[in-house]
Amino acid sequence: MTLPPETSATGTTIEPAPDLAAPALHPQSSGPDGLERLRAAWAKPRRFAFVTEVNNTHVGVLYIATGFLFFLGAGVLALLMRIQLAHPGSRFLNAGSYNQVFTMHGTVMMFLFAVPILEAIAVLLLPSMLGARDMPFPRLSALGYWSYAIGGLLVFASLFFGVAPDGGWFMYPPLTGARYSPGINTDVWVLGLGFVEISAVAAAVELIVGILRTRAPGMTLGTMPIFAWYMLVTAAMIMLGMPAVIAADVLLELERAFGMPFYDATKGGDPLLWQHLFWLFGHPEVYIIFLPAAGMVSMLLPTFARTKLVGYVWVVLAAISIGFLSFGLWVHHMFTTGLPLLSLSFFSAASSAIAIPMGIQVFAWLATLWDAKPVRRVPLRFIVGFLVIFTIGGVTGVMVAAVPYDWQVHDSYFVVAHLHYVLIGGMVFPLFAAVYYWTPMVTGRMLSERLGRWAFWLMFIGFNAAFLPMHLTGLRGMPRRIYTYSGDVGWNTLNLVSSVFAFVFAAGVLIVVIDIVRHRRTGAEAGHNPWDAPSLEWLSGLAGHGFRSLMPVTSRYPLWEQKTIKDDELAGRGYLPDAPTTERETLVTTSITAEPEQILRLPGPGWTAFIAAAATAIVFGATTLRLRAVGLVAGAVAAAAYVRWLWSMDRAFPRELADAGRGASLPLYNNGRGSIGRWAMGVTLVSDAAVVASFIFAYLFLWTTRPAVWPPDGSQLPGFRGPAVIAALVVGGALLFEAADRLNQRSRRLITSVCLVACAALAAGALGAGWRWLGGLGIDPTAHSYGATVWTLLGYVALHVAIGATMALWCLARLALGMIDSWRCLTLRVCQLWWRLTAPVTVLALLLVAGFPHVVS
Amino acid sequence: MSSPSIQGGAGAPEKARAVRPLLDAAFGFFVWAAHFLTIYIATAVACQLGLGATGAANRAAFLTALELVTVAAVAVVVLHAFRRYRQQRAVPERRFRMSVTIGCDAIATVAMAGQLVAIALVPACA
Repeated sequence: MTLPPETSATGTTIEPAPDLAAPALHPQSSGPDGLERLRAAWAKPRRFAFVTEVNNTHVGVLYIATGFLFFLGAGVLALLMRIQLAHPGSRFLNAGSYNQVFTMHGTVMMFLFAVPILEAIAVLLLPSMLGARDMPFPRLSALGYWSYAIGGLLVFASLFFGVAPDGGWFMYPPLTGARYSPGINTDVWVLGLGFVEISAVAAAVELIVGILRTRAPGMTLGTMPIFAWYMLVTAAMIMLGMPAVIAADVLLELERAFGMPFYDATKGGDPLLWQHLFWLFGHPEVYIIFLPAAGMVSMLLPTFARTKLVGYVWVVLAAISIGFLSFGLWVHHMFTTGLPLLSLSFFSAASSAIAIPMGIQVFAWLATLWDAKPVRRVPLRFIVGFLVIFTIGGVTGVMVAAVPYDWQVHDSYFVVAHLHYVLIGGMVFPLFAAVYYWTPMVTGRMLSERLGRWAFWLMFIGFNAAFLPMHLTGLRGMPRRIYTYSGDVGWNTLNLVSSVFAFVFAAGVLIVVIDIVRHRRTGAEAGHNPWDAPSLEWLSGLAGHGFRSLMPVTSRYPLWEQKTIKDDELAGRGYLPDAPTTERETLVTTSITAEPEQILRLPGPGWTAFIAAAATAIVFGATTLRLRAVGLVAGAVAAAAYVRWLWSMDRAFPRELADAGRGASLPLYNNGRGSIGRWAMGVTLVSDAAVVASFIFAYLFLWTTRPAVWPPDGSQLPGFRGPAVIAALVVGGALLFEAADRLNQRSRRLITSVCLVACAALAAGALGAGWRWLGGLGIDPTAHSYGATVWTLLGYVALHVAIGATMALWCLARLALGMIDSWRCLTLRVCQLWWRLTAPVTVLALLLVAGFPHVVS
Repeated sequence: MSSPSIQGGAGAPEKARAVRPLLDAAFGFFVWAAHFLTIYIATAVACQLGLGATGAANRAAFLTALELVTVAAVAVVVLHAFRRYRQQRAVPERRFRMSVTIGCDAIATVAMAGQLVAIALVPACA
């Protein structure tokens, strides 16, 4: 089936441009030949598959394994701390080493274990749960993984060289400023984790697009697996929350490296700015960790309760509510910072409000168990352990949400106990339940019930006996982060008990490790669906291609309620039983009703993602260690890798509709608003806008600290002429880009090229005019926080304009080479979205910098 | 299953509207976020600009303004829930979306109304 040539707006027939690289299409076959083609398309490369394979089943397993190794490493650090604190006056660790150990324990647990491993589980399982063959951007998954693994390793390795971060996992300035932390310890944290955070955002973009656009046909939002709902909310939270801490990192590094005083109170800065930005991310982070775990619990419970989840809609509602409300709680970590009482009360009220959706979830889980005949297997034990521990953590959470109580226990061991009840109860126990539940699907063998029961009881008893006494230790006044204490203050026994049982907890974890190692050889064969689970991932068995064919899904519990689904899937009676382009493919469906819309060709194995990640990690490492030459070389390699990657995108596609199976024919390309490339760019830009918002917040926040005189550094009051010219140039550039898209639709190649050149020229003009204007104001970015925020905000906007100009030239080059035409124009339209953000952001930033001083002075 | 048209593949403007219903379900929380930021920023800025040092009448007026903003925000969300209920209750395939929308509106309403307690009990700029 071939599409007729397109007709332009002017009525002339447009002949298709030669697509020399476009693959020929094969008719779909449900027989062995189709299966053979499918397997060939999804086969692992014969050489270097470890680093070149990008399939989610490979990357996901590596991701989880790496996260688990970081968990073990951070656990060992915790044991070192407990040895140190077991007795008063211990000299096992000195103060400096203890600082590094507790900082790395928190940092690794939060940034290198908790968030990544949950994203990893999503990368591994979500495509199968959703009935897709892979994530929509497999190379992005691989990039995210390798960035995380290499960046995380560099951060962790800093411990062995005595340069590990030592300012606490939340790195408050001024302690982490250049004056009090002159070494590179803080830089390791800021640059290393900044890199890892960016990879987390990349994974979030992929998860959002994957969940909304690659579900099985017929799988509406109302029939989507509950884990997908939780991951959708979590990914959105990462996208909005991470930018705040990335912005805070940028400001801290600018202060440390270039003396721009954002947090230095002697130059108009304010350390509270860090706390606001950090906790704007840091509090949602708790829920970013908790929600996927809650999603796993909601997936596992029906299997072991042998009944459907009670209140699916209510649970979805709870997940969405928590996602939003968690952003209204950040000051709850800043109750002792001297903010107005009324402000504190707002956050106290919001903290109470979040108890509603949290309660809904817990009651839904209890009702599911209540209504059922639970099968008492190891995963269910861990879930029950989770319910008990997390509920206790929730109760102490309500206590610390009360301002007067928080004033008493702030920065004491009470808070340490509370946060471990919430995080270990809320995340680690469900994670171990998930390990016992899904490992058979990955390895084909069961973990041991006997060892699992031992592990559970050791962990449950060890955890409670280690952390319950910490509430008392805190109430008796023991502060966090002290490396030793005097023997006469009444903390000795409590600390000793905590230390002993921390090792009991660790013994439980060790048994799980032994079980994982053991089961690969001696574990019982798992078979197809050992738990008789209802969700789709058990149908795929995590084969490279996932499913023999992609089945329509009409139920929340397809393996229980769609009786013929397995036979139909294996017989190839679903969509895509073959590989029509002989490449990796999956279906794109509409976001709400999941109607098939497009066959998405996916990239296969390659070196690009690995090289890009490794080179970028070296750039960050070299920057931290001040190795300029190494950094430059690695930067060039990274840039080359990214350019190669980007150049390979928006490939040539057959213009025919391809046979998708089940009598449907679908396009292989979408250049419209429904294209997943545009969705991904749109989602990324939301995250980018959050960075801009963070910088704007920094500017306004620093104004509130000294509102009387603005500009406070004696610099000239900004005029409007310069900003008006700059804004006009940028808006002009954006309009020219819009014009280029429209003209390209009419195949007016020459005038399209002219528009793109003019767009780049206007952008360059705007950058020049901006430099001149800002220079003329005499604002010194190192003299005062005002100048620092102005330069940073406008610098970030300038970066957008420069990237916009590069995009225009990029499109020009592809247009000239015939890689953009009226049909194959996704590159142009993705870049167009960039300009649609850049123009308003530029105007807004200029209005703020030029107009705000006039308003307040 | 019929095949989509060329527009379906190459343009698909009707599918793009799918973003709006997705966001509409969380409308209550967008209002909650706007309301929360408004009252928090207003309080922070007012106190920083010296509201605490002015007379009791000014502080009372400020609190009244916060209450009015809160009541207005609650009213908007309740109206939204009511409208969606009327629009979607008769469409079976929209029941799920309607339930989530109204539920989000309800929780957002409770969260905003909870702020009234804080405004009523705590003095401004204390």
